[in-house]
Amino acid sequence: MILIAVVALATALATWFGGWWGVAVVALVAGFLASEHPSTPWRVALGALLGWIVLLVVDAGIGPFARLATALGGAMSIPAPALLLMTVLFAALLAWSAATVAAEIGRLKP
Amino acid sequence: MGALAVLAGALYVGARRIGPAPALGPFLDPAHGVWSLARSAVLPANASARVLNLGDSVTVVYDDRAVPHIFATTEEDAYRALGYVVARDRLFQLYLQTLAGSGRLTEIGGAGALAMDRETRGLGLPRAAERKLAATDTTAFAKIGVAYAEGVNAYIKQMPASELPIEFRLTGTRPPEWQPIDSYHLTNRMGYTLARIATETDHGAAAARVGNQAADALFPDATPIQEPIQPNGQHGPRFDFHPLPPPGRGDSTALLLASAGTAFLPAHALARRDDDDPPSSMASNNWAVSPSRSANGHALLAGDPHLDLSLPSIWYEVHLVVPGKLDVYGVTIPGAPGVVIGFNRDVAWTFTNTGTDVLDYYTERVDDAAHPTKYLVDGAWRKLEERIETYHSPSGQRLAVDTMYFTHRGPMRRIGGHWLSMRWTVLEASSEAYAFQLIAHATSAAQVEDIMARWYKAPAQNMLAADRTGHIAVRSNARYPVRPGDGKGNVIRNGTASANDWQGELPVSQFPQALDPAQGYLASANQQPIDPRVAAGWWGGSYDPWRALRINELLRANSAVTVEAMRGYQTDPGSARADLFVPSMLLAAQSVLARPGQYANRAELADARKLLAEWDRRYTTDNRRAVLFEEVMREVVSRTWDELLEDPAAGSRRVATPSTAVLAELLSDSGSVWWDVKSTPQVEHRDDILAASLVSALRTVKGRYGDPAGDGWRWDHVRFANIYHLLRLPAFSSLKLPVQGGTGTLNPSSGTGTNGPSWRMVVDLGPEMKAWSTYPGGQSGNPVSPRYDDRIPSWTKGELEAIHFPRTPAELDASQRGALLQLFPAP
Repeated sequence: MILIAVVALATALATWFGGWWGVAVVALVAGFLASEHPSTPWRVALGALLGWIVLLVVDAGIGPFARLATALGGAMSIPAPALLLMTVLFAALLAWSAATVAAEIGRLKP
Repeated sequence: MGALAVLAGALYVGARRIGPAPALGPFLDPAHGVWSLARSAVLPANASARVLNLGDSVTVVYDDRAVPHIFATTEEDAYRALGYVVARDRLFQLYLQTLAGSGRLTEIGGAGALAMDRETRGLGLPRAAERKLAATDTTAFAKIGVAYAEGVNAYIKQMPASELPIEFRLTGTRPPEWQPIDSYHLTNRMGYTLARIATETDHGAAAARVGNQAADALFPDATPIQEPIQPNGQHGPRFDFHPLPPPGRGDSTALLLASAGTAFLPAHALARRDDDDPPSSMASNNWAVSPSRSANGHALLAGDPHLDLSLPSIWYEVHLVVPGKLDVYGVTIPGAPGVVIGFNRDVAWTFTNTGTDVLDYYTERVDDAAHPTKYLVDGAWRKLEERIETYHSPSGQRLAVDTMYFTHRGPMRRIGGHWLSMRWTVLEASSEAYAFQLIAHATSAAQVEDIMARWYKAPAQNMLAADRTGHIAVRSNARYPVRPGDGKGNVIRNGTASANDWQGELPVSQFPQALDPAQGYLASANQQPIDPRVAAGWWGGSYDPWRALRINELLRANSAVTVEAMRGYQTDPGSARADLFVPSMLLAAQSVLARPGQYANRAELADARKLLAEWDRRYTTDNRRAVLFEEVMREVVSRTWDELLEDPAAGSRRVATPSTAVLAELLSDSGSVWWDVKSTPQVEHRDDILAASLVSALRTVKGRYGDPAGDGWRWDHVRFANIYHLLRLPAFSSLKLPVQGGTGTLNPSSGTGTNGPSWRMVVDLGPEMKAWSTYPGGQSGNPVSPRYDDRIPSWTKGELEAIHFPRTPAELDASQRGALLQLFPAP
């Protein structure tokens, strides 16, 4: 639970101050450091997903988010909820794969 | 191994575009990507920025209509701030317009945009921009143009990632630095839109089919309905109707003329073929009344330029103040360093397009037909200017390379075995943006006209002005070429003789113009600007009399015009076109029904006649009969001009379509051979065609819209305004908007609904200037912003909003204030 919260916070901060690639960086670090737990990649993925949800909530709290989602979905011919889902799943997938690779490397430690 | 592959894949799709899909990482990033646009949809209440070369701090107060009021201490700073605020609200529009004006749309649209870019570059528009910039680099405009560019670039450099417009994200592009030449690309683009009038194209195409004499009548130099901009003292329209000469033997040499237009302006030529009237994109209205004819004793002015409708709108509303020096309010076009239409504390001005033909073609003799290097003039070879044009894809790949040739006249290209060059005022040296900066300081209507006559060259505009001292003035300002011989502009001239070149410019004294006319009002609506009976010179072009007839009728009938009446006229549903044609249609039906013998479609004709007679000839949104009239008109045009079909046997498109003013002229000759349909054994006359058109139209409209009493026939179920986003993304567009108006009404509605009044303004020139306006869009270019399309409701209803015109920031009270922006000099 703590790992999920820490990853969520770190992902949000890394994305805010860095960029989308911050997700992978945080996941690599978390995956490496917690490589002994088999569930780490999934927890890191969940943390990244939550981190991006937090950022989306910040966006929604400031501006006309529903209008943006509808317009964007229309422009891309994708239902707005699917676009939102795609957003957080992208972060989760990126984090899961990065954490898995890092955990594998971590387990190679002598 | 699987996770590594997924990671590699995620990083790849995160970082790279795949086909039209953007790179997902930066796109979906909730902090800086597309979702962050929600945070920038509304301007922050307080913001500040530093701008390079700013002389002193500038305060920008946005009002409750999102209009920025710029308070600066120097004019250069005011225009620097203008560049900044325009970029802040309309950055993608700036970028796209530059691509369009410089023939680089392929860089965002790929190969699909190649034809448009080839037309732009083939016309020599980017070359002309370069030459105009080079010719003006020592003028005061250059300083303003550079200041404007600095403002735009200051915004681009400091723009938070969250403010990058959505269109850049979708197309995977970034805004490049703005260059002063981009303003010339923009004004050239306006020239392309408004002045690509080549009467020789339609005339030549018609002459090739029906001979020159008939073509002269079908595409006349003088329109047969005269209600000119320069009052001719007749106190009413004049109908110069004459029998049209019969079709004659086609003149094959005229094909070259038609081909010239198609080759140089392919997109335009294609659009013109099926039009019944001049392109609606060139329509606009303006009128002014003297104090003697206004209810409040002030001069009043109204203007509504009609252009392609887009989101964001072509216009951006702004107010520039430099205490003691400049106080101008109006609309600018993003990219133009100046207020184009508007007013200051003394005078107001607005424009309509002058459809005069200022584009000519010349046959050239070259040294090598396949690879020319020289062309012959007065027996001596002159070197051709060669220019290599390269077109790139969004990824930078070379899509195509063209070699362009230029004579001293302009671009030259091979057409049907001939080398033709083109001369066009849009390509000549000019200072339109400088003219806009100067009129911002004008103190009288006469001064507006004089400034524009001196500095403004293309596209030709009917410039209407009114001032607080009660003067009203109009002049069709432009560079009008003086051609040799008969002065006609609808012929191809021999380029091997310099005597065939333009001989200079028409003097201002011969421009169509008027100052404080006895009739007490002035009006222009794209009609022929001057009565050919009093004109010195050739004024052939593309003109439309219908809106001019209507506004003159309204103004003549009202000797105490109010602001409210001016507003109402802008969306007046009455139609001079319907007033002229409907009685003829009804009489024709009556005549055919009264003939002895059995008319095959008697019941249907009687029904159609009854339904049309019920029409009040108004294009109101709930009108149920306008749809029938429009279909009858389409049928009449189609049946009448069968002689102009490309392939009569196949019923293909017409090579050109005479205006409805010429069709009205034909109405006065019931037995003209033009009424006869060549493909039928019998000989048809006017009434046969009108009756058959009524029957056919009724069938069509019933088939398409159902019962005449049903809602299917309502005008707002038939005709709409369609305001497309610049990339034509439906989600960012505003479509199927009900509007009051139809073809030829003051608030015209074209078939596609994509043209219309792009800005409406009414100004009351009393002791204190008061003005009202709206436009179909909003100040913001961000589709998510509440300011993106917030004015569309008032626009569709024909309502206007009161404009705030404060002298200082303090004059805007708290309820009128929106966001604040402070600009400071960069250290």
